[in-house]
Parts: sequence; structure tokens; C-alpha cells
Amino acid sequence: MSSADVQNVQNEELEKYELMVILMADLSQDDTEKELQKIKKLISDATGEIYHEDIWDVRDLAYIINKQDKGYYVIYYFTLAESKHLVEMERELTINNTVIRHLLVKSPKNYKMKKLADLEFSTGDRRTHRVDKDAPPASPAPKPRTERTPAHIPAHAPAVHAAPAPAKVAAPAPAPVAPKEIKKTMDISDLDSQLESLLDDPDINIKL
Amino acid sequence: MARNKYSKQCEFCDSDAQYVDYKNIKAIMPFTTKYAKIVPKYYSGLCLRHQKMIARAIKRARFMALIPFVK
Repeated sequence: MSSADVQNVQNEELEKYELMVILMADLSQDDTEKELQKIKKLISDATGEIYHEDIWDVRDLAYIINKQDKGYYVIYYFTLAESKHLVEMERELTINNTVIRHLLVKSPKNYKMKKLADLEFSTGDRRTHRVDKDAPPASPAPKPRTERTPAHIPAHAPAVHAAPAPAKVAAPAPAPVAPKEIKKTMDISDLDSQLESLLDDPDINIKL
Repeated sequence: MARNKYSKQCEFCDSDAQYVDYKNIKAIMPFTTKYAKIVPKYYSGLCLRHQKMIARAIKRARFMALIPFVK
């Protein structure tokens, strides 16, 4: 953030823009990386200078676009020297088939960026008070979910390596007391990292 | 959002909001009906300036599939 602030001071006269792009969600990691590089190049070709990028990752779309129900969201915040090149940039984005939607918006002056985490948990100005009251009951709620997952992880993890039958048989056999003891001994932070490593695996396709 | 009986000012004027961000879905959602329509000014209790900001933010969020057009 500090580098962004420095740049803001330097380019005070320059207009600030933000570009939100939805890419296809079913691209491989390499392909998305390539597309992101392309978009970055488009911005730099249009005399833009990115001062912040925000990756929202794969999200559910509110409605189906081009037979897709999920999209990979990225937002680029940049300053622009000359606005006449934006037409070409937008044209390239509309032509690109991996880009489902894009939205180019001029940021207002004094615009304060909010990262995804802030957006998800904060609301507009005055309403924050109301949400804060609701937040404490909401925040402990995710914890039981992570505690429940260990029961699923041992069942699913071997399933990936094509040995589902023994794991499934073994799981119901022990008394219900045994899994509870395991839960207590395991660290929640460990679980989170394990879950993330499982979810980050590009080979696994989790569809609801 | 119904108008607060005791405050005559619109709630964005109270906080002196200069801009409503289309990415801030939780701030926008209270100004949509259960069918995802934009709540009119006489129900939302907003001043014209902020009603326009909200409406623009909702339309941008709809286009980027952050909130639905219809439910």
C-alpha cells in the first residue's frame, strides 16, 4: 500500500481507473496466468500504470453468462496518461473469448480502495454499526465447519488416490467417540492449510 | 430500507458519502427489493444525489453478475 500511496502522490494529475474482468473459471492455472499477463499488457499498452491488483478468484455468478455459472474475478487499479487508447483496449477485451465480462470505471477522486476481505465484511458507512452487532455470532460459526471437515478429509483424501472403499468402511466402524478425540488433538491452523492445499490442487474439479 | 422516523436526512448524507462502490455488495443489497429491483426513492428515503449513486452502483454490480437482475 505504501508504494501505491507514493505513486498516487507522483501522479496526482493523472486520472485513476479500475478495470474489473471476469475470466472463464474452468481455465487451467497456466492459462489464467497467461490471460492475466495479456490484460496487464493491454493496460500498459494503453499508457496505463497499474498501482494495485485485486484477485477475487473464482466466484459464483449471480446469473448464467455464456453457459457459465462461475467466473474468475480480477480487478486492476491503474492510472492513465492518455485516455484515447482505452477504446482499443476495450475492443481487445470484447474480442477475447476467455473474458466473459469486463467493466472499466473511472475512479472518483479521493477513492479509497477496499480489498475483497473488507468488502465482504463491511457495509456502507453508517450500516457498519448494525453489521458489527451481527458479526460476533457470525464469526464463530465458520469454526465448527472447519472442525467438521476432518471427518471428511480422511474419507475424501484417499478417494483421490483411488482407494475409497476401505476408508468408507473404516469410518463408520469405530464408535462415535473416537473421531471426537481426533478433532481435539488436531490444530485448526493445520486443518486450514491442509484444506487449502487440497483445494488449490488444479487437478481436482469440485462442482456443486 | 424504510426511512428512519426521527432523521430527516438521508443516511448517506449523514456519513457524507461521496461515492457508492459497486463492488460493495453488502452496502447495495439493502436498496434492492426481494425481486432484486431497485427500491424507489420514496421508500429508500435517500436524497436524489445518493439515490442516483446507489442506482448506478446496482446497475454496475448487475452487469458484473455480482447481484442478479431478477430473482
